[in-house]
Amino acid sequence: MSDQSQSAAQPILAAPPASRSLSLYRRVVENTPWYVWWLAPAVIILAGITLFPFFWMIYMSFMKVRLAPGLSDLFVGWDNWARMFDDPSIYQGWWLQFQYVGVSMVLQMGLGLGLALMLNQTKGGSVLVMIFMIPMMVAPVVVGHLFNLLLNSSYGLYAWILNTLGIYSKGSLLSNPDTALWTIVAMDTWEWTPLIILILLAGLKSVPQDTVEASHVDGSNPIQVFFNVTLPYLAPSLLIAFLLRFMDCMRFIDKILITTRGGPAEATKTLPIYLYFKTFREFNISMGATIGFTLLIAIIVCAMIATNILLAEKGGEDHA
Amino acid sequence: MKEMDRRTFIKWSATAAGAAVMPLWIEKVLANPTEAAKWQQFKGETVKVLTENTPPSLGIKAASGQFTKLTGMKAEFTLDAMDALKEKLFLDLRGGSPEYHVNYAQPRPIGCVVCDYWEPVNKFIDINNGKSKMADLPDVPAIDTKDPDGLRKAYLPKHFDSGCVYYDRSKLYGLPYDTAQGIMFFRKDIFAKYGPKYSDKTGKPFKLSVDTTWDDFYQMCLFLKKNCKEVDAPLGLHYAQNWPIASEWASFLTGFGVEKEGFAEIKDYFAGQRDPGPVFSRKEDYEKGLQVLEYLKKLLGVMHPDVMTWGWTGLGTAYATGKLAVMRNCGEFCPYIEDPKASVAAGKTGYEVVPKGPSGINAYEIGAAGLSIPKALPLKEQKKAWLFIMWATGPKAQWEAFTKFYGTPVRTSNLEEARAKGWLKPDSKFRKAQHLMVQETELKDHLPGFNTGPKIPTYSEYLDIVGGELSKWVAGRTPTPKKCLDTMIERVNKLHGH
Repeated sequence: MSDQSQSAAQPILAAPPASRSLSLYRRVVENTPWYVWWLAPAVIILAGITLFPFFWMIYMSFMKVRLAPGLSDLFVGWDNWARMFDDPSIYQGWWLQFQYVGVSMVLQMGLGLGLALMLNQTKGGSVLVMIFMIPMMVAPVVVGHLFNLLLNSSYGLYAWILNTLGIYSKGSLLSNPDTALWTIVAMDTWEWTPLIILILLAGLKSVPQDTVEASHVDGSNPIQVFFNVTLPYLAPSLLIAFLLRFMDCMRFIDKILITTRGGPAEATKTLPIYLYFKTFREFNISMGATIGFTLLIAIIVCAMIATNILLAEKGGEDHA
Repeated sequence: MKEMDRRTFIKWSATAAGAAVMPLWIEKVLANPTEAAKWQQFKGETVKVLTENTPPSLGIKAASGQFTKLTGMKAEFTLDAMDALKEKLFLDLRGGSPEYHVNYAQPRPIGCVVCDYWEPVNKFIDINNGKSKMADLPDVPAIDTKDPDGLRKAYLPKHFDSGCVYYDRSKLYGLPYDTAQGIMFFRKDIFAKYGPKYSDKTGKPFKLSVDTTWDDFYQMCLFLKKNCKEVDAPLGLHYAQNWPIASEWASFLTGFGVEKEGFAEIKDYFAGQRDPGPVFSRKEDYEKGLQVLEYLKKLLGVMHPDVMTWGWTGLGTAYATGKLAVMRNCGEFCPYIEDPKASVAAGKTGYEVVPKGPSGINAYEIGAAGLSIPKALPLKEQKKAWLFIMWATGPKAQWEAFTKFYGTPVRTSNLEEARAKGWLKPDSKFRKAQHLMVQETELKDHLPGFNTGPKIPTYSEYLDIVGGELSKWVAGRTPTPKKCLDTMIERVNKLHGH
């Protein structure tokens, strides 16, 4: 009898562990918004394919990676890092990278903005937009081959035009260390400015026309309208376009590999190209991982700065 | 019991005897298959070949019907440009389970880096006379197996050393497959037109010969630069960054008297050395190195500005399109240059030995490659690969690739055949063999000029340093030759821990 009363009292005094975890599980299930469950598989897969390589890259940067079967990796501590900072080609690569990305971004953002504003106010703009989009549809490797042919001093059309007009007669623009990098910047600008146009055109559609008209009625000239009305509305689109292109430019190797392979005179041996050579020409996987990690950190920091600016802008707008 | 008649007794006795002997006979046949059976043992299977997309491999690929007929196997070719080929091959070998049976073994930049992943062919043959060590495999074709040096004699001089030996003379990593040998290509029409004017003015002959020095030749180029309007520039060399310019550097160093590209401690130049020791440690080599740097830059003055991006193919295309009066390039471009559908220089081109350097050596580059087999392949797959290699380096395949396509024969018997047909003469109507004549002279009379560059395991890193520094120097991005050479030495020695 007493045993029976004891066992009956137990659940009231303390819930058994199974019931407690069931309750926790129920609470989690009930309190988690439905969309989290919908997103969970994608987030887990994404984390797997981004976080694992990220940590693996860090691991490799502290090891001597040996690809031959049967050989395990050797721990070398900071050796790869010390060698990287001791390598003059790294600093040269960063400097070229800075020039390449800087000039590309200025050109692409400037041209993209100008053309987007123009197309936004042009009748039949959608047809022109379609035409402008064509370079973007071409694979970067094909763009590299195309310009290689066009600039070839033996049979290239562009080389012939430049030579005939007396603008440039020293062979191919890609064979001169003073012009090679800028030629590649021009190729990249030709191909990717349309992406900026596309994003900014979408942004321009969100600018309220009544505000623009009100500004005109108040006596603002077009430049004042642009800076006081259009630009604040366009800022998020500009930042997104910048971010996308910036990350692409930082990783870019295809056109350089096709056209100059880092030459002439190392004039186009940007950091990603150097990384590629270290990894796939010399098979120095550890050094490749070390350089790759620094490049990744640089991209992440710059992207975070841009994102913070974007969020600050958004926060300011919401607050207003 | 029925009595057996005599006829039946004989029949049964013969059958019993036959049955007893049959296993012995079968064993004997299996142990000593016929030559045809040895070649045909993998009938219906495929051999995967990874090689460079250059004329010799295109020739062998085009001739591969012969291989299928001989073996019943199909040869599947993957042809790539050197950089892509190298990456693909290195990954395939280092991954541990190779997909390709046969690897293109260009000594630099491939073999000296990955030879440890290849199977020495000592496993299959006696490396002196080519006789098979395995009963089910044939001997190397068309070799005098009674001659203790028969294998080497069957191929062009030094081609074994160049393309099949790495670090250890007792091992052979394949058989010689193709040859790319530096020679001079010049426009005879331009030389005929401007030669007399030059001779009148200077009193010197305007011609290329084995006695022409680089200085004589430079003066001719200066004259052409001032006077000749038919071409864009008198001269073309391959000055593109990395391997092309590093290869020029190696040839000029030899011409100026620097041995082993400045690695004085390398004992056996052709075998190479895993630790090459410091570079340019000898004062006289250092001084000559500076002279070569000056010379490379001086020559840029008579060259086309695009040389900074030209490798061997870019240079060949420029010459074929009439941009140059002279180029130094590999002989394998001769069939292309002599093709009237592809080249404006067809029928107008003369061929000569590379000029002498100040040391008196006519130095020429050599890219004599072999074919090798991955060590990680199972024995059966290695045997398939070995059959392909024996066929592809044999006289029949080499002859067909050469005569019908753009091949570069490496068998001495092929050269004798070409000579017998009268093709090795300057006025021969069979223009595709013009380079062979000059290459033979270089190999016979100017063997010290044979330049393969150093075989070192760090060759990829070495190329990156040397090719980059040279390119910066000739482009005017390094202030002095001393600065260029000192930087190069410092970086190469650091690479090797010296």
